[in-house]
Amino acid sequence: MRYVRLFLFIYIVFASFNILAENNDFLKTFNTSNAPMNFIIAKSLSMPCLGCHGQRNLSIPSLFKLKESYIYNALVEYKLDQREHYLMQIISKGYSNKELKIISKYYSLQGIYNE
Amino acid sequence: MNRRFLLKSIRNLGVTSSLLPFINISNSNAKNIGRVVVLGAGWGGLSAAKTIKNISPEVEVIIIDKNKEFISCPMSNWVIGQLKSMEDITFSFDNLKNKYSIKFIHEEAINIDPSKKLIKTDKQELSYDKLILSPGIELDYSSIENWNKDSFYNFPSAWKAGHETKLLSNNIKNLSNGGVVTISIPLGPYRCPPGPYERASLIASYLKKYKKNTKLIILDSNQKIVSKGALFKEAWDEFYSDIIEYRANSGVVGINNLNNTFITDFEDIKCDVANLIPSQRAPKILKENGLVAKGSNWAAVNPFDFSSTIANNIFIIGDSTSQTSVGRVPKSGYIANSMGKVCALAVIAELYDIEKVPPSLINTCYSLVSSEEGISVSAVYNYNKAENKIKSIKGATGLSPNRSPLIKSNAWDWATNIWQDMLD
Repeated sequence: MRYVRLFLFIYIVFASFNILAENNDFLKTFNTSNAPMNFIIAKSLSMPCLGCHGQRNLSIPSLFKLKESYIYNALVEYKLDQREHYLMQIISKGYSNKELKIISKYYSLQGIYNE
Repeated sequence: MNRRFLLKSIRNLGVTSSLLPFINISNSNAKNIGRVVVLGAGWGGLSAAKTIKNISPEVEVIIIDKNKEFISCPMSNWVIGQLKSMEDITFSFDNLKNKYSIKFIHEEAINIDPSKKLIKTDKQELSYDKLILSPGIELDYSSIENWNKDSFYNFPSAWKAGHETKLLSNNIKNLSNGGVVTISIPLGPYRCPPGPYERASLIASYLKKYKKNTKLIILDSNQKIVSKGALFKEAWDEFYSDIIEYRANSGVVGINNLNNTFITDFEDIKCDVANLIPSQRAPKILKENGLVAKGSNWAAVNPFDFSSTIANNIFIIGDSTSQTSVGRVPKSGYIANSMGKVCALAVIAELYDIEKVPPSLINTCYSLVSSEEGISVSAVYNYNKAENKIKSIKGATGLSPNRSPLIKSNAWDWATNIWQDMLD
C-alpha cells in the first residue's frame, strides 16, 4: 500500500511538471544536496524577469508574493498559447516547465524571505 | 522499480522545495571575500554592483564613474518627443550608497594594470580582486568631415543621455513652422538598434501635433530600418506620410558647421534641427589597455560569464562587448542589465570558489511609434555550448503583433521597474 501511494505521488508530480519531457543539462546541477547552488540557479533564472516585473503592480503586474501555483499555471498557459499576451507568449517559451517551476517558486517566496 | 530508485526519484523531484528557504550565499563557508571595482554606473555596472551586494553584502563594491547622477538613456527619446522631462529620467545613487553600502568614486578612470590588479583614476589608484568594466560606448566622429569640438552644439547626437538630450529636446520644441529636422543614423552595430526610429517617430508625432508644414528627413546609413522595420513602416505610412522622408543607404560623410548642412555622397541637406548619431565603438579605456583586439571596435569576452578573453579577473559587460564573441544580442539597456546579473553571479562564484551556472538573459525593447502607442521586440537567451555563444532560444523571440496604447503603458512601467531594479 505504501508503495502504491508512493508511486501515485511520483506519477502525479511527473505528470504535472512534465519533467519526463525535459532533458536539460542546465538543471543537472540542481539537486537537493547543494542548497547554495540551488539558490544561485534560482537567482540566475529569475533575476532577468525583474527588468519588467517590479515590486509594485503597475500596468505590468508584480510577481512578489503571488502563489507559486498561480504563477506557474499562468506561465505554462502562455507557453501553450492558451493565454493571450503579446509579450509573455514569447518569453514563456524560453524556459522548460521545470525552469518555470523554479521561477514560480522563487517569486512566490520574494517579499516573504527577503524583506 | 525498486525502493532505492523510488527514494532517489523523490529526492530529485524535491528540487524546488529545497529552494525554501533560500540560503544566503554569505552564510556558506566563505574563503575569499574581496573587493570588486566596477567601472561605469550605467545599466550594466549598476546591475552587476547591486546584484553582488544583494547576494553577498560582505563583498566590497566600489563604482567609478565621473557622473554624479544616473541619467537614463532608454526613455530619453520621450524627453526629445516632449512627453517627459529630464527630471523624469534622472536619479541619484543615494539608495545604492546608503542601503547597499556601495562606494562611489566620481573620477575619470585612465589606466588599468591587469597584472598588478590595479585601476587608476586621475586622482588615485585602486586595487581590485575582480574588475567589472561597463563603460558603454564612445562616439566616433572620425569619418565626419569638418567635425570639430564645438560641432555637437549644432549637431547633437543625444546618444548618451545628458546635456545633448536636453539640447535636442529644446531645439525640437523651439522649431518654427515650416522647419526641417534631420536625423542621421550610423551603420550597425550601434547602441539601441530601434532607438533612432523611435526617436524619428516621436519627433514626427510632436511635429504633426504642434508645428505646421514641417519635415523630418531620416538619413539612414543602413539599407533598411534595422529593427522592428515593418511595425515602424506601418505607423509612418499611416501617421506621418506627409512629414517623414526616409532615405536608406544615405550615410553622412561630412557637415557644414556654418549653415547646418549634412553632406552625404549624393546630396547636401540643410536643416533647422540636426541630430547626428555617429558610429560607435568601445571606449578608449578598453582599447588603450589592450582589452580590445587590434582591428576590432568592441571588446571580446567569454560568453559564459563575460570574462575578458584577454585579461584575468576582468569582466566586460554591456554595449562595449563584441557581438562576434558574445553572440547576436542587441546593445540594449535590458541586455546590459541581464549581463550585469550574469557577471555578478560569475564574480561571486569566483570569490567563493563555487561552480558557475550557465547564463540566462532576457531582452525586451519597447519603442513608441507615436505619443500614444508602442511596439516591442523580446527574446530569451541562454548559452549554446557547441557554438560557445549566447543564443536566443528557438520560439522565444519575436515582435508584438501590432502597436497599442497598452505597450506604451508597459514601456514606461518597464522603465520604472528596471530603474528600481538597478537603483533602489
